[in-house]
Amino acid sequence: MKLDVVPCGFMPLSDSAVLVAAVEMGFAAGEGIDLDLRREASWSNIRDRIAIGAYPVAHMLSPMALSISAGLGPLRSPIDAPFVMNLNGNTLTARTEIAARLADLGARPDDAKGTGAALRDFARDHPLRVGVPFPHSMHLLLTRYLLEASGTDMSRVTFAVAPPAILPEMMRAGEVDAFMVGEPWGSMAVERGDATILLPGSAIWAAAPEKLLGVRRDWTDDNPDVARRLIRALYNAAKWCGAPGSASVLAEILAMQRYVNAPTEVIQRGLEGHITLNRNGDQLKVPGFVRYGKAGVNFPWRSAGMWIGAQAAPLWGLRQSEAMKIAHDAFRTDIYRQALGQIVPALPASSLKVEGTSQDGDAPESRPEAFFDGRVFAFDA
Amino acid sequence: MKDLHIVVIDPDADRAKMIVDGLGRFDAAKITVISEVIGLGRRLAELSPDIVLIDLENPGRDLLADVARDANATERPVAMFVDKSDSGMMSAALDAGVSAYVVDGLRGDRVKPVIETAIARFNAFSRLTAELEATKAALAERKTVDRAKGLLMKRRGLSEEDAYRLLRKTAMDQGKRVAEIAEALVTTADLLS
Repeated sequence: MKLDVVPCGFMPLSDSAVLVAAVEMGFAAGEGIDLDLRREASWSNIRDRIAIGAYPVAHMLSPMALSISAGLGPLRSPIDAPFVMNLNGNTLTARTEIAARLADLGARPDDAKGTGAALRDFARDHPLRVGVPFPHSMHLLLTRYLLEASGTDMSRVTFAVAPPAILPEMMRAGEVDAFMVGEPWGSMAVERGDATILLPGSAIWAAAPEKLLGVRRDWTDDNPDVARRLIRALYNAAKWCGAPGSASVLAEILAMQRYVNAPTEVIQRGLEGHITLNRNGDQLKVPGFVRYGKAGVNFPWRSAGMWIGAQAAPLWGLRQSEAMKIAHDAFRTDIYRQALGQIVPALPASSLKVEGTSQDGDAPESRPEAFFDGRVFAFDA
Repeated sequence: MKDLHIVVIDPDADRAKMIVDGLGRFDAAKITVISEVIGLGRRLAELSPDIVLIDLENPGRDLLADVARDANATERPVAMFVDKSDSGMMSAALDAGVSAYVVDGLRGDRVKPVIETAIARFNAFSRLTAELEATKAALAERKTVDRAKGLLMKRRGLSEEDAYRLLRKTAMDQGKRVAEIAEALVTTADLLS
């Protein structure tokens, strides 16, 4: 059988897992797709190569789908998000001496409120410089959300950008005090001995759509069948990634040079949500540190996209209504339903939910979708 | 007219030299080469270049990305990619493996020849690299074929010419290249020895 070749750019991160598993575990081939993964050196490359059409699909930071669609890069190109690859998976990590001062101010890795307040107090006396992997990222939006909701004077905060694997080196060179990054790069900085994990990203928002399959809209229009098969392959790959018992094999695959190129053991910490916080080896178990393929994870809630649009609009110089419309139109629940309606039991009836609560109204004490400050966000279509 | 200041960010000294040589014909231009990624933002702010050229494999590209800043919004040394309207040139640049950042307000006719030169030099460098690799591969294949011939001469008592003829016939019968047959033979011999 001749396979449909689909070139796809990705960044060396643990959450390239769904794409990598689709190739290495045969889910893509099973759907008649030759997923041609190409490792990239920067998010800018992915943005430009998908915008120009060199990639029909790519591993993508959730806000990037919106910023490319809005024309914030060199070229405007409508990008859709029909599939969320994972929720969460980042760490906020600081230089060890700064982490020690924050701890004195009440920062605790299992307490986002305390850590937010400590950062606010720290920033009163010192300008706070935070590294993120891209301007249009959940890393920037979630860090800002944490700081703003904690009452930080935002004029004291600056952000700097570098690719994930470079951020620890930026911190080492004294260019930033802390950084928010996807695994394994926070754990790698801890491993090197000069960094301490302040907070898992999931502590800020427990259901943050972290990476998407970004898809050129014209490609889906021209290849609806290939697009549907690709989404089915990724759905099955994601389910495998999230299954108990997959973590050690997945870590070994991701560790390979052509993917993340980092030690298996360090990658495995994030996959299992069992984090080593500092050079003393203090541990933290974080249920939901990263979520793959569990119920509801892959569904591209339009409301989650609209949250991103609403948060990003003032930073991007867009009207809020405009950014939220772009988000609403990009998060393609319709494509997800077409691709998976046959094989997924009980797809959500609505494409919107109140963000900060779970779809089926879990008991408030479990709050698996909560923001750290307990806020909820309701959006209308 | 103010002299153009061009910064080339490239850790590969050979390629950087090729680019600088190419840009040398714009005699108004001042050219600075940076090879380090860390500290890039600060360095660029000091240099305040008009055009920045950077290869796509360089992680420093994201350091040039525009960041939402709450303070010092004017600190940005560079603004935009080439020319938003010229997607043909952008495509050629991406294919060549180079990207360019240009300060806002710089006239297109001053930018275009610089970018075109950079694209041409990047392509020339890739060609040179590819040729070098092809030469290396050919050398390696010839060594394998020589070893395979030697094996046949020793084990089957053939002359060098007959050994080669046998390799070529086998390759033709199987629809493969002589080098592949030689490779298979050498591997098998290694396994059996």
